Amino acid sequence: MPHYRALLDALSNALPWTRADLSAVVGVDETTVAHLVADLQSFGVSLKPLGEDSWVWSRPVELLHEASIRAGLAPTLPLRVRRVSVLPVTESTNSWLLNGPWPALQEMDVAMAEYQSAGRGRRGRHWVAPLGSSLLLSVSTVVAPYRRDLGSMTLAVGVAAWRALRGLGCADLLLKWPNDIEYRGRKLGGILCELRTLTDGQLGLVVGVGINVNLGHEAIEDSTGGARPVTDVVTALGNQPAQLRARLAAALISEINQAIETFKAHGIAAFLSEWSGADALAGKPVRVIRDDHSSEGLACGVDADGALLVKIDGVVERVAVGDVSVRQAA
Amino acid sequence: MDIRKVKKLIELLEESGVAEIEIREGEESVRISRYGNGQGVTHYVQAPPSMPAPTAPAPTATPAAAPAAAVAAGPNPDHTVTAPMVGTFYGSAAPGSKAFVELGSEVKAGQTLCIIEAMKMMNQIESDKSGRVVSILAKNGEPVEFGQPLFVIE
Repeated sequence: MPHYRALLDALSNALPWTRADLSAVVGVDETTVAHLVADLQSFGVSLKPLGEDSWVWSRPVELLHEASIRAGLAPTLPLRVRRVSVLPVTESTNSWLLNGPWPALQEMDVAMAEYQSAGRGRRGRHWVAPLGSSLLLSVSTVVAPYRRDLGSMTLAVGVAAWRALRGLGCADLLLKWPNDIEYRGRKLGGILCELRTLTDGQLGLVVGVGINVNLGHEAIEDSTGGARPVTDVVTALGNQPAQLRARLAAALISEINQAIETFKAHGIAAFLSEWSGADALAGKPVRVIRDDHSSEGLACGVDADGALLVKIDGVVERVAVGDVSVRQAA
Repeated sequence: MDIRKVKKLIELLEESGVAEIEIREGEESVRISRYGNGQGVTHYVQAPPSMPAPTAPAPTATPAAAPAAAVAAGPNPDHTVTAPMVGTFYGSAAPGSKAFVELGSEVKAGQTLCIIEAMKMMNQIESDKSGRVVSILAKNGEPVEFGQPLFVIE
């Protein structure tokens, strides 16, 4: 794993590198260099071969570094940011943090990945993006198990991510219940929170956020007309500022840090007015799918617990679990 | 006593890790104590017996832990795993895949028993004891309450 980091750092100067030079810099033999380069290519890194034994990364992506992210954090945060780990490749930043060790109360750990080989979605689904094109960020913290409404933390984190993106200048962002961030009807990012019961009656909470930062025109166009069209932050901003991923990472960590403390004290109530102001589904005809069961109705906001309200055959039903899609007019 | 004050006290207790707080203010007193198993908080609000004045109804939050207590009362107490939040119970990782555990399964401490989900908060419940699953008290896809018993491990 550290070899990937060294290799990426070397190649990111956008100059041609020979196998021998990479071998010297990374500290592995040339055969291993060839394997590592092949791995990076399979992760979506556009390394162009120059003859037999050289490569160039002519358009390197912005790589994340702990120091620049820490430098961008809000000056005062309720939870002390203990570890900030940037992993070149991991199965899933959520899984990495769920394995512990857990931070103390009033602390949080952060893990980010340049590439996630088994990104997790709801109910065993996957989320994959080329290396460096997304921000894959998870935080872990410990909460006492007293909030029966912990599930709605997902919505609170959505509001935190929405604030972070707006702070960078993204307008027209909406939140699609319960865990998607949308820009003009396309998916910009998603949230997946996970809990583990720890000893001493405490709960370990991991909040995972995935944001498409720079997918490229092609990937965005390819998704048009599919079930889930996507977009990215560069599109939402209309340009690509320097250090975009690092700045977004720092803003997300700061906002999520504050949101966790606000949620602990006040629950979802403290986030509902912002959520409602950004509700992508309000007033829309929707289909709610849960495992093999599906129903249709009109979305009409969320209740005090953060559950989606859907009017089905004249009766308003609470939906706390499931996938919701906007139903296209026939 | 001002209900907001009581609420604040509950929050204080929850943040502190202290098992019980008792506050006396004039003729009123309130005692707030935690459950022994750490799975819930019970709040008692009572006026001293000498106090004749009518009082507001006691805001008693009662987690649904009673069945767990009943199960645990035997001479060789079985271990009950309860739901740490409101959500939907899933016995398997994905629709159609094999259940994490079945009735009679031998489980080790740390082994996954089920998932509880609410609004894409995925809560993987692990057994905190090794033993045999002698009771599964929730059905796949059904809602569960905070503190509701899910499994009994022998």
